[in-house]
Amino acid sequence: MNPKVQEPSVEKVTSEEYKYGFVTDIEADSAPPGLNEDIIRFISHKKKEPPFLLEWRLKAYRQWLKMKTPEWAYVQYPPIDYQDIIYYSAPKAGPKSLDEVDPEVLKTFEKLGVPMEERAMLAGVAVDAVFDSVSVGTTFKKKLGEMGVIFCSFSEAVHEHPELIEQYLGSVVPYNDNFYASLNSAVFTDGSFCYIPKGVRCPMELSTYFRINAAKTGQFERTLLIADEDAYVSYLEGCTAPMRDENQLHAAVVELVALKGAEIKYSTVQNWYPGDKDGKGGIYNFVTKRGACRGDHSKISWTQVETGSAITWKYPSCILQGDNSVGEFYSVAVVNNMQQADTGTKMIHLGKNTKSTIVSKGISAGKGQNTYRGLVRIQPAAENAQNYTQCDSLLMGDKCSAHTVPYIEVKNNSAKVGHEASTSKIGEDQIFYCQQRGLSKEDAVNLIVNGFCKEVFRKLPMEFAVEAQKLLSVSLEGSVG
Amino acid sequence: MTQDLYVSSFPRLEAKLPGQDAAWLKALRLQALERFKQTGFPTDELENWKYTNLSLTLLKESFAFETATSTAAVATQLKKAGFDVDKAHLMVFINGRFSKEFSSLKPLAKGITVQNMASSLSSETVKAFVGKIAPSQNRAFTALNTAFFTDGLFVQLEAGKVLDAPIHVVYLSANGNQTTQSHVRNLLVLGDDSKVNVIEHYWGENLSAYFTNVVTEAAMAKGSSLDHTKIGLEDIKGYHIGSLIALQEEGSRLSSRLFSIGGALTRNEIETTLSQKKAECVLEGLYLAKEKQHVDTRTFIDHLSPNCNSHEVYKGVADGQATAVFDGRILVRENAQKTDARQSNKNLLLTKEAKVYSKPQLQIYADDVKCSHGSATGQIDEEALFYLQSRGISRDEAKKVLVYAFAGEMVEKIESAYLKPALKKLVDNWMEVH
Amino acid sequence: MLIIKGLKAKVEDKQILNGIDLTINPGEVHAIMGPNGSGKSTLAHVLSGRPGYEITGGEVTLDGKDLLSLSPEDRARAGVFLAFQYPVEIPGVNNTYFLKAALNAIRKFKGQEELDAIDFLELVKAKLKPLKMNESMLQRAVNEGFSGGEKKKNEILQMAVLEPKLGILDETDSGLDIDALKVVADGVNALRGKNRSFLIVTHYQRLLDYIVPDQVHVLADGKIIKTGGKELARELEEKGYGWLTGEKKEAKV
Repeated sequence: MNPKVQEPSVEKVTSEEYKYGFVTDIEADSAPPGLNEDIIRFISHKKKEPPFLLEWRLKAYRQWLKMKTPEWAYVQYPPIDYQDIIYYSAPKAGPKSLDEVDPEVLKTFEKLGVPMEERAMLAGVAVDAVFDSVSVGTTFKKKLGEMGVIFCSFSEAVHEHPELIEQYLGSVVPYNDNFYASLNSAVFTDGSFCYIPKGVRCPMELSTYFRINAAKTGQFERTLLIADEDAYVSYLEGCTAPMRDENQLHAAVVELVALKGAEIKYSTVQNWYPGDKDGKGGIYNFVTKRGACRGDHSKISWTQVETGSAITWKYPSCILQGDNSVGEFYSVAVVNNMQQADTGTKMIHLGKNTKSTIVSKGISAGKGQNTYRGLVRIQPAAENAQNYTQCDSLLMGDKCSAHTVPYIEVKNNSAKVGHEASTSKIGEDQIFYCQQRGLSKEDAVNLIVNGFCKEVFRKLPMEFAVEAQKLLSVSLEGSVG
Repeated sequence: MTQDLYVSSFPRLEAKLPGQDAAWLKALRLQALERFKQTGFPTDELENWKYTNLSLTLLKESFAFETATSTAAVATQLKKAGFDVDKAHLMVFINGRFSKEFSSLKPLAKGITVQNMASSLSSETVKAFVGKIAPSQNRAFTALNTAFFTDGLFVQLEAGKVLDAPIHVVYLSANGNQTTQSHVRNLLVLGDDSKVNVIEHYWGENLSAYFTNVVTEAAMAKGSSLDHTKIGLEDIKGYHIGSLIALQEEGSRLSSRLFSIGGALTRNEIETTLSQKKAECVLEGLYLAKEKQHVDTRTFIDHLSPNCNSHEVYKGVADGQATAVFDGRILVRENAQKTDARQSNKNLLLTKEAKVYSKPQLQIYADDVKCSHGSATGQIDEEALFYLQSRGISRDEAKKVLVYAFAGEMVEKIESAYLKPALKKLVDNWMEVH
Repeated sequence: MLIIKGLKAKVEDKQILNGIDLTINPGEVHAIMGPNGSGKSTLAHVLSGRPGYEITGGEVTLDGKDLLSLSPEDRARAGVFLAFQYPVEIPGVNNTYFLKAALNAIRKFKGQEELDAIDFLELVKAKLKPLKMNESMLQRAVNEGFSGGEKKKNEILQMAVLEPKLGILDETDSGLDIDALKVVADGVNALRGKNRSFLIVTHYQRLLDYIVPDQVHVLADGKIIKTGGKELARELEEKGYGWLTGEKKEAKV
């Protein structure tokens, strides 16, 4: 009988200090804590928004008051006091160029690895950095502008392109969609906006960094990404947050619209502060992300590596409206210590000949609880729909858990729907085999975990794939696979 | 059919139910009624009833409580269906009440009891188990069943006893023009290393709607083996809500197969708890649904202990405007190391209007386990159809061949010489007629 | 090179090794034979550092340094290689990638430069041919879907790449047909050299026709009860183990 193998990656992950744990002290022009119509008017006024947007916010807020916190997910947390959150916090003056940006803020971005200098331009990545609730600086606007690509903060888009905002905001995630989406619709302060015009293939990957700073500031970003006919864009989203004692709420909404022949690739590497060994602190990540494949032959791919947050509740989804549209979801979700995750995806097949692929890899360690919750719905008009789903769970240690809850609803018999799920652990004999070949236990575990996640990592843009591996606290040589 | 009607009718009806001398049963019934009052009938807002909305169907009907008996040449019908009835212990219940006339038991060895429930209410065993394996908390229909059951099957095998011949229990609903309901309670108690084969067979001959509510509790001691088959052939106007709840001890083996073919609305819940190590369960099922039938099957396997195996295969064919629902939950608890749990659900949709909802779930709290599930839904393979056609077989005939190949797998798996021919006939008939 | 003194070990509270004394000099090939349950595989596992075994006495040194206090990977880096009797499958991990990682870990330990992907691929492809292995095996996951013979060949391939000081073969011949046996034996023989030693654990004499040992030891009840030259293996084939262990058992050949 072999004794239990000490799981080294677990120890390594917990002992590695969350390296992004630092705080910037900036004079913030914040609203008092609490939520009511006045606060919303305050936010809208501060941002100089047009009346239609204020109306929309208020509609959402009134709806939110009638809604109840959803309780069906396999996550447990103390009730949130929504009156105890500050909904608006921003540094004093809005910078007009990088030179005007508060050096403290720039230093923060430096630490986060967001170089706003020439280096960034050489790397060819345009960055829209959000500092707390207001966007600070956007590079490469000009270059992208030449191609007709609009990539700016949401607030800016409201001023420069109100017609686009009015047309598309809430068209994929309506203001009354769910509790957190309604809250977000009422109090969102900023986020990213992106529009790729017809036929344009965005030459560089667009990315965004987020940060939650001042205490009790929930982060409510709103992102809207529109790819017009035959356009292509690859968008990266990665975020970090400082150590805090109180839980911080992050209720974002991301809406993607892909018109005829367009393709949107949305990649996320998420490592929000997960809470300490005892589950104290940590971000609550309650996000609604949805993509609408409006046009025929359009495609939306969600790729994500989630390792942070105390609690994660998100289901990036695709509405496959256009005929021959394609939806994809590739995900690696890691929970450790006391983390809880209830995540997955929804693929709604409406048009003809639609296809969706779901590959979900969950890794549970420590006392983590990981749940995959997915919905594949084939509506009556969805002729020849195809779905393939693969959910695998890897358990490390005997105090963690992994659950799979797929909902498969087929209302058209020409559909082909296949779903497979499996659960396993890393075998002691596999680890020993690697050790006998000269690999340390850590290396062995990393090797096997990497093999487990291979399919998903392959889908990530190159830069992210690297950060993703690091996030699994692995230092592997060479590239993936 | 409303909650109030049941609650208000209870005092009057209870007085006529068997067990008037059994204080324990009277108390149990009262408790069950209280629990039913607490939950009421399930609505589709409850996660477990999400895809089966009773308010538009079952709850709109009304069923009389009092029922008359009926004459039925049961044995002859069974023989026609392909059962070699003489080889089995036949127990017949008509409209929820035991019919000695139509039943025929073979001689039973000492230590083996096969009786109807109403005659067994003074048994210490019955008292010990009824309502304990299937408690009525949060289960509206179990509570209703406990409060109102009229009769059912009681089987007990003492340690080491083996009953070779199968127990074939027929639950016939036949009431002419009257709507009727029957609440039937079965209890199977298997002692250490005992072995028995039970077939629950439901059918109806009715001109009006009727409702069957059955709860079967099975207590399986160390090393015991229960081979259980449920054949649901309710009439097209019948509503059937049934559950099989088992509690398994060390090394026991439960093999349960479900054939859901009849009924306007059928809901079967099969649950077993693998409470001690090395217990095993094999759950299989086939549904054949057409027209506007609604078939809902849910299973729950609780791996409480290490080294247990569970294996599930549920397949079905949905034709016409039928709706099929499958919800299979496997829970592997923290200590249940070396669990091997596999589940497979396959659905064949023959028409555009037919619908399938499948929700296979895994909840894993132990790490040294092998668990997997798969769910596939689709239609008849065009390639295969064409292949058959190219060999001279008509398209319709080819379809039947392929559907049979799909569904027939569940019949081929049957080892019992008693069951197989009859079930083969059943599935064949369904193919022909529809 | 390898000195084992009075080695005692137990598994699950059962004493298996009862005092093994063995010295293997550089360049030597030693065979360990014995009836089932004698402790042959246990000896191989204990030397490689497999978890689950408790050392209850004795010592083992490799080139003068204590082996038993080292972790399995450190023993590997010190030059110990175990060709498993039942090589485990590691799905999702590419065979080539795995070998490169292992080789580079060992090279790094020795202060040598690590090989990049291209150089490594060249190295490994060259080693494939004599083992009559297909290049496609390099693309597959470690041992996944490999036949018994392929798994054993994969073990020898790894040994050829990692170039250990001490190669321990744990019943490498079990499950192999004659042709595969010859190929495996050729692979091992090609690796023989004055700085490399082998410890071959085997039940059957046949392998030793191809990999001719310098010494043959018979293990019974956890102790070496007889040591001889290669003729001892023949004698065992003819007479069985009974005449040595004093029991009237027919050896299974």
